Amino acid sequence: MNLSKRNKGILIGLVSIMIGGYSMYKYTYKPHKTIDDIELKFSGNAADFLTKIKENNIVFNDAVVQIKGKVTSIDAQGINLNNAIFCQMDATISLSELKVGQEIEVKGRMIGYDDLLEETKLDKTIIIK
Amino acid sequence: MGNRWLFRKLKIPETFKKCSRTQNKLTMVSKKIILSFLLISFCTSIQAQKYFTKTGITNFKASVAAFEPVAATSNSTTVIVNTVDGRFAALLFMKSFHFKVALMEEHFNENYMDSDKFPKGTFKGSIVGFNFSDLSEMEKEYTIKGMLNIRGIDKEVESIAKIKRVNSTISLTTNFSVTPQDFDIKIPNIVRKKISERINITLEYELIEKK
Repeated sequence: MNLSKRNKGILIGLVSIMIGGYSMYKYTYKPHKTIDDIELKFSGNAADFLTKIKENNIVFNDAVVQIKGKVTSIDAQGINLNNAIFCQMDATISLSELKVGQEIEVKGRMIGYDDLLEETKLDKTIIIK
Repeated sequence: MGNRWLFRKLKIPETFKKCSRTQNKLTMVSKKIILSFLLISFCTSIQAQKYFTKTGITNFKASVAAFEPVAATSNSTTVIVNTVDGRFAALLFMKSFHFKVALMEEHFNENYMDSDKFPKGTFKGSIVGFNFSDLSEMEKEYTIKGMLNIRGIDKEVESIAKIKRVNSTISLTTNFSVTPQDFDIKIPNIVRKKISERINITLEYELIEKK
């Protein structure tokens, strides 16, 4: 191919604008982080988790945690573990097979300690088993 | 002999006295028990008069036409309404706001709201003239007055809410607007044109009885 110097310059310019535009677009419209993308900060049973957040709940704000606990109530809004952790479920999770009293393991994002109801709130929760 | 008899005669009323005293004590104790039972049942009956949700929907919009919409929804707002006196409390976590654009969510939390430093937004107030028995399936308008606290700054807010009750659910919808300056949120010049001056907040809460 015989390209003049000028044409070459235009071509390089166009390509770099395209690459730049594409990466800008990628950066601006990057997908939301899912539960699996975020680093797991706690894994264990509910009682241990509760004592840990009593010491310092700020550490776990916005962190992903995996908790084993006992289901103490189920409603349309989500489930309660050990009467102290409210898990708002991911939209894809069905609660139809869960029973009160069952031991389960869930993974979700802690959004904070709700001092109106005195419970810890998780959202985007999925059931591990 | 006679002496002993006299002694006995004297002693009988003594024991009588003791008896009646313990009886008195007993009735006092039982009275106290009954009273405390009454008090407890009274208190629990007051406590039962609360309606709440853990998954209330709070929206905000600060969009300007022709630019990328600046709007987010949180569907994990906690709301408690005391149906006896109309007191109203709400709490939401800033990080539960979900934006369509992930980068916007990141900027919202990091640059504008300082969500790590001020994770919560709260509202404490009351529904003026609230009377539980007046609620029906027809929507009624009430004024809600109270303090909105965002980023640790209080701002008095007043809005008209539509409240209705269908079976055991109270639904409450309202909207009001605030400005970023109210809460000392600085918006850089570059994006000033893309964010509207007033931020409209819409609330949709479906409350159920707290047992």
